[in-house]
Amino acid sequence: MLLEIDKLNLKFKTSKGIIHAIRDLSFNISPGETLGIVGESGCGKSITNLAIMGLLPDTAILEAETLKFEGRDLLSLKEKEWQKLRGGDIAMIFQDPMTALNPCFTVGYQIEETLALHRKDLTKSQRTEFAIDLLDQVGIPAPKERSLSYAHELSGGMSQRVMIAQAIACNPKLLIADEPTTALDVTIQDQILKLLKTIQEKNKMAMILVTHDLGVVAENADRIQVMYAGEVIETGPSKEIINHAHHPYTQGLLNSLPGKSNAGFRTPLPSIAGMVPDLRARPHGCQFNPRCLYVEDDCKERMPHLSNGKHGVSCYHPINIG
Amino acid sequence: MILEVKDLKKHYPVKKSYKETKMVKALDGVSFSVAKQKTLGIVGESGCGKSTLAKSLMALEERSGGQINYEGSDMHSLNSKEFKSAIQMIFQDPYSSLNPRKKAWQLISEPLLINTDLSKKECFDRSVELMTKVGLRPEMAERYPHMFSGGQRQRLGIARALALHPKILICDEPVSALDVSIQAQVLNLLMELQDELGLTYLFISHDLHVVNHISDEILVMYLGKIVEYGTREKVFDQSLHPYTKALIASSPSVDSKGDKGPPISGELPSPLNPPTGCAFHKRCPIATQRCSEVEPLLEEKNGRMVACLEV
Repeated sequence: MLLEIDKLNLKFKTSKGIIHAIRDLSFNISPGETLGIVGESGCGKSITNLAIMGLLPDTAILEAETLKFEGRDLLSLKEKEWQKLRGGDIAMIFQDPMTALNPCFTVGYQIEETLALHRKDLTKSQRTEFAIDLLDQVGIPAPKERSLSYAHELSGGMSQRVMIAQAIACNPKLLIADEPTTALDVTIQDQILKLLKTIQEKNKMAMILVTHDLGVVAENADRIQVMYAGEVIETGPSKEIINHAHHPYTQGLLNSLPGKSNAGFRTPLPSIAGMVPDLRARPHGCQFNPRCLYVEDDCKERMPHLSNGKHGVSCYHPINIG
Repeated sequence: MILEVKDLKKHYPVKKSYKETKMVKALDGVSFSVAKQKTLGIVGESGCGKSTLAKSLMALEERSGGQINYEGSDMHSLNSKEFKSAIQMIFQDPYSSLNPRKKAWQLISEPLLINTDLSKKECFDRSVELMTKVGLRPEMAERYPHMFSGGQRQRLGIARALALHPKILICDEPVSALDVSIQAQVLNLLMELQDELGLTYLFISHDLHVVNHISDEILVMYLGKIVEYGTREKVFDQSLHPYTKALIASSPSVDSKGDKGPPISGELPSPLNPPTGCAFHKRCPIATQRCSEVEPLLEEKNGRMVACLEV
């Protein structure tokens, strides 16, 4: 296992008391695989990534039974050790490429910066050459000239390519892509996702692909993990989840997508009524019960737990079984 | 035809140097028409002129040329009040399009206060009525925008747009800022309102699946020009233009069948320096020498309008 997480809990201190943002999150990632994490805004996708990257704000309280990367306990790491890991073995691509790059430095310099921190064996001119080579790898035309450009001189797709170049500079074992294509057009999105796949295969890198777009994970992830209100409610191989979702929430999300082949023109889309719960006033029992079509009494009393096995679901009355 | 647009142009001057001024052709000869109670979907990448089109129709941008006819007469000849009850718009971002210092009912009654003689009390009642219509509870009228969720804010935006009983509603990416489950709720609401109030929609979106679900006709734009335009069956299911095909192939779907082939390369060219001939030829998989020389015209082929030399 590359990354092992067991019973991770994350709370935030706020002026209105403590918010329990992530509850009993457990998952693993093996080398070379792609895990897709899907969920609506506020379900805890991004904050999970920040926890893995050690980038949580001071108000966060992190507790976990296991949080290990390559067998190394991440909970006890000091900031100096985090700095060695971040950008080295674990790298991240952020959602908005336009704001994630520093506007004051050339993009080449920003890639060299990563190299200067993690690859002490390279000289300055080697770093420059390496940065140009990386830009070439991510498909930027005229990489030598482009390395001297500033972020504002590049388009959204190009900036995202630079971000990827920066992230893969030190051959990370785990790449976290947090909504890498949400800000981009579909044609560019397609290019970027294909690029990530090629790099992943070449470098045998594991990837966490976070997105709210079920189509993107369906096409790109090996496994999918659906999150709701800070909990994993369903996890399993992509095809299984897309074709035989067991959790009513997952099925609801799938049904509400326009463009499924069975949806007729202008027919009302089946939508999930209601909204995600306020984390300060969580419902009793299953977090989804106020919006669920299949709710029964036991759902409101006890919290369901993620079942074991390849396709796990956290529901008392799973659907599409057998 | 409730709305007819003929050869609409919007050119922006861009100063290249002290003497030289270049023209950016954000819209270059766009013509289409929409029938009453129908929906025209407009798709294209960012920078293709979708939003400029919406702004020109709303007279938020002065057009550089062409004609916009509303029920047979020029839009310019309408007075301000007539214009506002003819056409209204819903904006993309429900977070920045609502004034944070106004209560929900004040936001909705602003167009009423300006354009009608209703008293404040009547405006309040009408706002509450509109809020119920879009699925918000009456007691929410006294709340400020930050107390609403994204989907509810978009409903507020819709209620505000409906305040003056417009005939045409321009929806500029109304659901792209929303989560999937909320997106379906808002799309359903828009479809219900259309049937109930007999509205005509211009539905702008980059999500082809959404456009295909809601539109009677689809218009595909590339660099300020129409590349394909026709009924939804023709454009989406039997598309001819390589750009339309590429857009459909690259939009992710949960029931896609395995490999979709290589993505189209490159990006939208700079409108300051548009390529010669067909604007799409540098990214096109079927481009020939002729495509880089001759500019294709929008012609009828197989039941729809398409601008391509090779189909």
